[in-house]
This record gives sequence, C-alpha cells and structure tokens, in this order.
Amino acid sequence: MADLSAGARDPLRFLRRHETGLLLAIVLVIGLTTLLDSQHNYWRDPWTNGVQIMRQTSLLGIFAIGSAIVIISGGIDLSSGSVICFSGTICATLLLLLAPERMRGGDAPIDLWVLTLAIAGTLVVGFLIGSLHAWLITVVKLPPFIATLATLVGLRSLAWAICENVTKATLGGRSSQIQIFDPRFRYLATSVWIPAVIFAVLAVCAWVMLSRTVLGRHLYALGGNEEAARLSGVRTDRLKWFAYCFSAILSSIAGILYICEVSVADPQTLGMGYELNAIAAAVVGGCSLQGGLGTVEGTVLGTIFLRTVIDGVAKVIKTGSKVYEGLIVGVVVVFAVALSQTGKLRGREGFFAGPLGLVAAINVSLFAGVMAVLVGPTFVAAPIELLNDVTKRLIGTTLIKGQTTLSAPVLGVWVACSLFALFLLARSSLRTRNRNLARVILGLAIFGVYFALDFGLPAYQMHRATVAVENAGGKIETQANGDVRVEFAGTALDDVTLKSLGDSLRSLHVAELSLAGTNVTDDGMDSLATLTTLKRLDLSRTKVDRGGTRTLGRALPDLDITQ
Amino acid sequence: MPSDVPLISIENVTKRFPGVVALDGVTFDVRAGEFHAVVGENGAGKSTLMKIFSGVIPDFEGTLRIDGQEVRFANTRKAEAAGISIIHQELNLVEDLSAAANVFLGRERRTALGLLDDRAMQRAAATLFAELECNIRPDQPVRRLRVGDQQLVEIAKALSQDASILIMDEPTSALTESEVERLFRIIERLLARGVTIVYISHKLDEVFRRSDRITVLRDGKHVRTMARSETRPRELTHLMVGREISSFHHAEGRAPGEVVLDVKSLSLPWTGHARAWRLRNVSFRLRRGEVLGVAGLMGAGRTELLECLFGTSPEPPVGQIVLEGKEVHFASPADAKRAGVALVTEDRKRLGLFPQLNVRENITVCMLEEAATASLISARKERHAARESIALLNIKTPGTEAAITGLSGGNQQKAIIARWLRTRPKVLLLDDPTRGVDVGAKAELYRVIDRLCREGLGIIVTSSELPELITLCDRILVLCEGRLTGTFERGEFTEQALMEAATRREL
Repeated sequence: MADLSAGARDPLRFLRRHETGLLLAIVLVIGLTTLLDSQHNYWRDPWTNGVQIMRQTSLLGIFAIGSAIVIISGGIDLSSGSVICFSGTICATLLLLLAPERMRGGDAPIDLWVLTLAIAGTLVVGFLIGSLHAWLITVVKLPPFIATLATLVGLRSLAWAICENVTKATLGGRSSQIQIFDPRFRYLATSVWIPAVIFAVLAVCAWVMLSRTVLGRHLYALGGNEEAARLSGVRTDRLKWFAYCFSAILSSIAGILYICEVSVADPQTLGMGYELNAIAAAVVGGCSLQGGLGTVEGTVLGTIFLRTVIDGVAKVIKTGSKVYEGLIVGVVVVFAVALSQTGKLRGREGFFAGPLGLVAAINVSLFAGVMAVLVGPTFVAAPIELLNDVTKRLIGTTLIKGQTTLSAPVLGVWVACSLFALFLLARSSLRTRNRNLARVILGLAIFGVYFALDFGLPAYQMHRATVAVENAGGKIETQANGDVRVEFAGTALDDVTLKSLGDSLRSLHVAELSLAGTNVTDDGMDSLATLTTLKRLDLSRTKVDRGGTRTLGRALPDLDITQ
Repeated sequence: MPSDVPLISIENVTKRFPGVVALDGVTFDVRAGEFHAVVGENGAGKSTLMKIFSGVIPDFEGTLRIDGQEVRFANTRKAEAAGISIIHQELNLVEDLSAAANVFLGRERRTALGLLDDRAMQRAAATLFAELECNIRPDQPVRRLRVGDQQLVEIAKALSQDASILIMDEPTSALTESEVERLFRIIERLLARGVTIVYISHKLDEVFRRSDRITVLRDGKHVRTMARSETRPRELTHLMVGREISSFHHAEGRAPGEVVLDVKSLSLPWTGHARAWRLRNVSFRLRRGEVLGVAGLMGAGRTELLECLFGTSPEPPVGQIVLEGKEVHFASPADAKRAGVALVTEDRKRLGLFPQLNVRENITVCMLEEAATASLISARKERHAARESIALLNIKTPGTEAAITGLSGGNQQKAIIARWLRTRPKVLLLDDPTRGVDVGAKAELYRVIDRLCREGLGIIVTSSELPELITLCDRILVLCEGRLTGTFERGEFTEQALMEAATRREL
C-alpha cells in the first residue's frame, strides 16, 4: 500500500503524459522541417506559414473535437465529412432561397438578417442530424458505426439532390454547385482569425465541459463502462444525444467555414473523407476507440501535430500537401498509437517474429522502397544540401556531391533490400555477441553497397558506353579542360547506329562530337537532341542540311555547329 | 494417493508490478497427486502466483520447476502443453460463441476436409457437461448462461485438455451449494485419476473439506505450508489475516421501524421462454432498519427481483411496488435513484466499476450534483466528499486519486457501496456483495451493512452463501424458480430449512 501511494504522487508524471509527448513531437517536427526544407520557408517567413497551418488546424480541429467527444463517450461518428458537406450546402441553399438575386453574381452584399438566418438554420440542421444519430443508436439500437455510416453515404447524396433542385428552381438551370459572391464570405476565406477564434472558443468550452462539469464526467463514465453508468443512474441515452448533437453541430460550423474558403458549395467534393482525419486527430491525441479515455487538449495537440506533419512533408519534398496527406495521416496514426501504448508491446518477442512477421518485414521494406522511388532523390538531397551548407560556411568547401547519382529505381531497390536484410537480422536467433557483430557487418555492407552503386554504376555505364562507341568506330579522348571529345570522322556511321548510341553518348557526358564525313542524315539529328552536355558538333561533309540543324538548334540553343 | 515427490516447486519467486510487490520471495512445493490448497486474503498474491504457473505472466524473478525441470512459460499455450490447466476467477469465455465452441477454443476438432466438426465438438462437450452433472446445452451461446453455468463451461474446458495439473482460482465464488457439492464430487474423481489440484480459495470450509496440504500466503509472502491435520480453521484464519476474526451474530438487538417498501404480487414475464415467468407473484415488505435476505439457487430469480425494484429488469414487471406509501414505476435506474433506491450489482467488474476513472471519481459518480454548482464541479468539494466516504467505510486506498483497479476486491466493493450511500437512499439493494471478497474484508462488509441498517436504512441482500445470510439478516426470503417458497424470521432459519425451501419445486 505504501508503495502505491508513491506511484500516485509521481513528480515526473507530467512528463509521462500523452499531451507532453505530443507537444515535444510538434516542436520536433517544426524544427526538422525548418532544417530539412531546402528553402527554409519556416525560417524565412514564419508568419505566413504559421497562419497557413493555424487556418488548416482550426478548420480540422473544430470538428475533430466533436469526434473526440463522441469517441470518449464510447461511440464513433463517421459522418462528420458528410455533415460538413450537407450543412455547407444547406447554408448556400438558404442564402439562395432567401436572397436569390444577390446570389446571381455581383459584389452587392447579402443582407445581414439573411446571413444570420442561413447560419442559424445550418446549425439547426446540425442539431437535427445529431438527434437523428442519437435516435438511431439509442432507440432503433443500431451500432454507432452503422448509424453514422448510413448518414455518411446518405447525406452527401441528399445534399447533391437538394442542390440540383434548388438551383433549377431559383436560377433556372440545374447545377451541382452553388457559387457565393458575397464579399463577407470572401473575407472569411482569407481570414485566419475567425476560424482560429471559433476553434479556440469551442476548444475551451469543450475542455471545461469535459473536465469540470457533471456532464463531462458522465461522458467519461459512459465511455468507460456503459452498463455501470446506466446502473449508476446516469441517463445514458440523453448523454449520447448530447454527444452526437455536439459533434454534428461542430461539423456544421466547419461546413459553413469550408464553403467560405472556396466560395462555392459543391456537394460532390466538400468535406470528402474529412471524418477520418478528425478521428485520426482524436486518436493521435490520446482518445481510445474503446471509450472513456481522451482529452480536449490532447485532441487539439493531435490536430496541430497532424497538420504540421502534413505541411512539413509537403515543404521538404516540394509537392502539394494534398498528394501525400492521406498517406501521412495513416502513417502518423499507426506510429502515434503504437508509441503511446508501449507498455502493451513490452514482453513481445519482436515485431518481425513468425510467419506474419516475415510478411510484415516484406511489407515494410517494399513500402520504404516505393517511397524511396517516389520521393527518395529529393528527400536524400535535403539533408545533403543542409550538410553542404554547413560545411561551406565552416570550412569553405563541400565534402560530398550535392546529389546522389543513383536513379530513383536503383535507390528504391537499395532501400528495400537493406531494410529487409535488417529485419532478417532482427528475426534471427543469434546470441547477443554474434548479433552485435552481425549488426556491424550488415551496417558496413549496406553502406558499402550504397557507395559501390553510387560510384560503380556510373563507372560501369561509362565502360559500356566506351565499348559501344569504340565498336562503332569512334575514338574517345578527354581533353585538358576535362571535356570529353568523341571522334567519328571518316567512319561509315549511319543514322541507325547513331540512334542506338544515343544512351551511350549521354552516359559519357560528351562535350564535343565530330561526325565529319559520316553517312548520317537529317533523320539522325533527333537522337542528338537529348545530349544536354554537348557544346560543339562537327557536321562537315555530311548529308545534314539546314532543316536538320535547325531542329537541333531549337533543342540545344547553346550548341556550336560546324557544317 | 499423493506421493512425497514435489511435482511443482517454487523457489524464491518475486513479482513486482509498478508500485506493488505482488509476490515477495515465495518458496513452497506441490506434490504429485495431492489436493493442495492455497489460501490468503485478497491481495495476498494467490492470483499472481497462479498467473505465473499458467504463463499469463512470463517475467518474474526466481525459479519455477515442474518435475524437476526449470520452466518459464512464455504464454498460456506453453503452459497447457506442459499439462497445466487453469480455471480463472474472472471467467475467460467468448460470450457470443456456443458452450461447445468455448470448450474447444484454440483446439477445435476438424473433419477430414479440415472444416470445423461442430457435431463432434458438441458431442464431446455434452459428455463433459454430463460428467459435470449439469444440463448446459452445448450449442447455447455462453452469453445466455448465468455466471454459475459459465464457470462450469470453464471447468469443462480445463477437463477437456486432460491436464495433469489443474489450478482452480476461487472456483466456487459463483456457485450455489449444490453446485459446490457437484464440484467436489468431480474433484474427487480427478484426484482418483491422478490429477494434481492446486485449489485457491478463501473459503475455509472448502479448504478443510478435502485438501491434503494447505499453504498460507499473506501480503505477497509465504507464511506456512502444513498438512490439513496439523491445523484448525481458527488458526488458519489467524495466519491469513494476522489477527483473530470474531464471528458474531450481527442481527442482535435491531429494531425494525415502519414499512419502507411494500411489494405486492410482483411478476416478471419471460417472453419466449418455456417458463414464461422469471418471477411469479412475489410479495413481501421491507422495514426501515431491517436486513432482508434473499436466498435461492442460481436462476431462482434473486438478481431479477432486485432488478425489478431498481427499474432495470429486462422486461417491465407486473404488480405493485410501493415505496413509502406511494406506488412507483421505475423506467430506468435514474428514476430509482431519484426515488431513493440504490443497487450494488452482482458483477462488480462488468456492471459496477469504471476502470478508467480513479477512486474519487468512482465514489462520486452517482451524486456529482452535490459537489457542483450550476453543473460546474468544485474539485475541492468533490475531493472532500470522496475523503468523507473513504473514512466512513474505511476504504483502504493510497488516496483519492489512486486507480480503482489497484484496490482489492473488498475495497472496490466498499467504494461502490460508498457511491450509493452518497445518494442517501431509503432502500439499499445488495446483490451478492461479498462475491470474490476475502475473509477479513467480508467481516468488515458485514459490520458496514449492520451499521447502515441500525442507522435506519432498509437493506435487501442476496447471497449464494447461506451462512452469510444467516449471520446478517433479520428475515430471509427463499426463491425457487421465480416463486417465493418460504419466508423465515430470525431464530427460525437453519441451513437445512433454507435449502429445503430453495429446492421445493411445486407449491
């Protein structure tokens, strides 16, 4: 008993909290992004980037809190994406019905009472949807997953139907979307403060509600043990009603903000798949899908973490954040939840034991390989550039080449094979001493293979190119300034052979090429157009005429052609 | 016949959990073919020890030898392969699978084609159930079975594994007297077959009934191992709790007041069941300051009766319930709570505890309103309320913020009673309140019940142990198959008379 009390008053408990871990993770992600991003956007322009992330976080956070509360109460709300879509459409529809002439275009502002009515109406719709969920779950006794799955698919199509019919009735033509021209909406689209303030206010309200009120405590009790809560005289059905309404109304608020952002209500795409991001944010934030666990502050941090990771990856690999968003969310959820329950994993034999482990090792290696093919070269480039930057400043020179010469597929295969070898080692039943030795050897082997590929592959290509050129009768010489000169002068080289030599000449980085007196014609000039390193070309005594050189000149404008 | 060869020997086994030493250098051995009882209060480390035997806990300090071989089971399958089977106190059944599927879970019989052979499994399960003298239908989902029958499914599962060592962790905690008799007949048969039985219990009558040797654990330490003939129950109790327990009749000198609850021909329908009624024409009165016991075998309708009084019966009851002169119809436990009725449920883990909430939150959950102004909880008032309850019922906890799951069964039960006392009920319903609670805590619960009764509370208590009702109650109602088959005043009741009423089928 004495030992227990020591455990309860743990001075370091703050550090062990899920929220603290998330906060540190967010700082780490921001730091890494600043360092690895070759343009250092976060450093140069923290304001714009901060505002951008804050805007995204606020929009996602508003309905993620709703999802979190449903999850804490032991349910699940799959419908938030569709509720966003439906309420956005309803808001636009109400505007269209109340002020049709203003919605046809122009900058004339919509009357304030119309706006207020439309927004109020949308929130009422949110309440009605939440009540529908509660009724389906507590009275019809559907599992929450099924009830909200039904509205997830149903509401989107209802929104579309409403949209088409209302546009036909008011604007005269069927349309699957409703444009909004009101300047106040435009203002909302660019403002970060309005979503941020709404988010902050809702988060504080939800936090007080969950941690300081009877209602909140009963929600935890309901999620922790529903039967016990009911038998403790808690009105569980009303609590569920509250939780689903809260979630749906927050989604409605998000729906209004989302139609502002794009100034159009498009039921086909609005809020598509957002429910999963919201659930992911809640789960990353420490909510358990079994219910009874989770906090508002955790969910807020989970949302920020998700958005910073998405934004960070987009900054580093320089593609639109939309492309990899789903992938990142998936990976983050797996890691965050796995790391937060390390206690459960202890005592396992290892992640890659047994037949399932073998397949998992293949899975992970393949995934890493594919990722290396997709983003590898740029991703490898980022830290190398950073290192070069540092060394240049410190010692005035760079230590390594700025880019890996490995092509994406080779890099991918290397990554996949290396990882797989590491996993196989982890599976093996070697004893500790042998295992450490094997680790060292394998590590050396992996880097050995990398450098062998990085230096050997170009060398091998060079060798093959040399042989091919020499077989065709060409002579290769490297000049004093390092330029490569290839001489075919006087040989019987024709267009077909020249075409087959295209790749070889490219591998040689040829700078000067002499085709004087060969049989090449205009047709062969196409195969030279890809030689970006070519500076001088000798075409004297060939059948190439002006037309051929003109096309070549267009592809390689700096080329100096002798005829 | 038990030999002198140690089959299991435990040497210096220590197991630490965060903050607690569950086992502290425990050393003893179990001989081949003996009935070895392990006794100790809850929290003495009995269950932890058994989890080590059965591979549920793979990491511990010290050595465990089976047949002289040092072993360390990484999981339950490895333990089963070594011939050890365990019947856990908390049942481990898949509720939606049939009884037969549960018996063969993980070792399913297959046909030549590799498909499940349900027929063979059901036949084998039926044979096992017949051996256990129970009439569980093998194809019935376990969810539909009462706790007592579910435990028999667990026992059948262990039997089906042909285990050479059978560990039973409080196997009788949910059984009626006749089921206990049946269990001991089975144990006798198993011993004759040469099976070694390690029997964990805190019920001394069971321990003294058959065991060859008895090991006493207290606070994670080994106290003594002795032959049954060398000791007496009184001495054993003393060793277990470190103090003498006075057994006295609690009911002396109580003075019941006016009628607080009047139940008139209460019936509870049972749609789609051959019996048609879970309860039929039950009438009784409860007075202020009285403890009314409800006795009966499994399925007699004890729990259902309390559920009717608390507004949580599976179907709406028929008949009249009059609380303090007013007829009441409770649609939900919330209604019952507001009217002043409180129910402490039978299955603490499933129906009572909130495992994620701490001790304070578990105690205040029913009456949070008293600690809140305008729905906003005052942390100070709430902690004060929790401390008051902890002191009132003498709940042993490291503090108000400790995890409820870290408390012993008896203290968890007290926390749940405390939760309900905060609602200031007029009628307190206790459904088998001492199930899974050790001897010392039991005595303390009896004292608590007695005190509450003397303070003017009307209490209805059910129990599967007749001696418990006899020491505790002023009057005892006996149910048999949903009918009231006897009402006994204090002085009239003997175990014999109660058992007769509980098995009286026709009336």
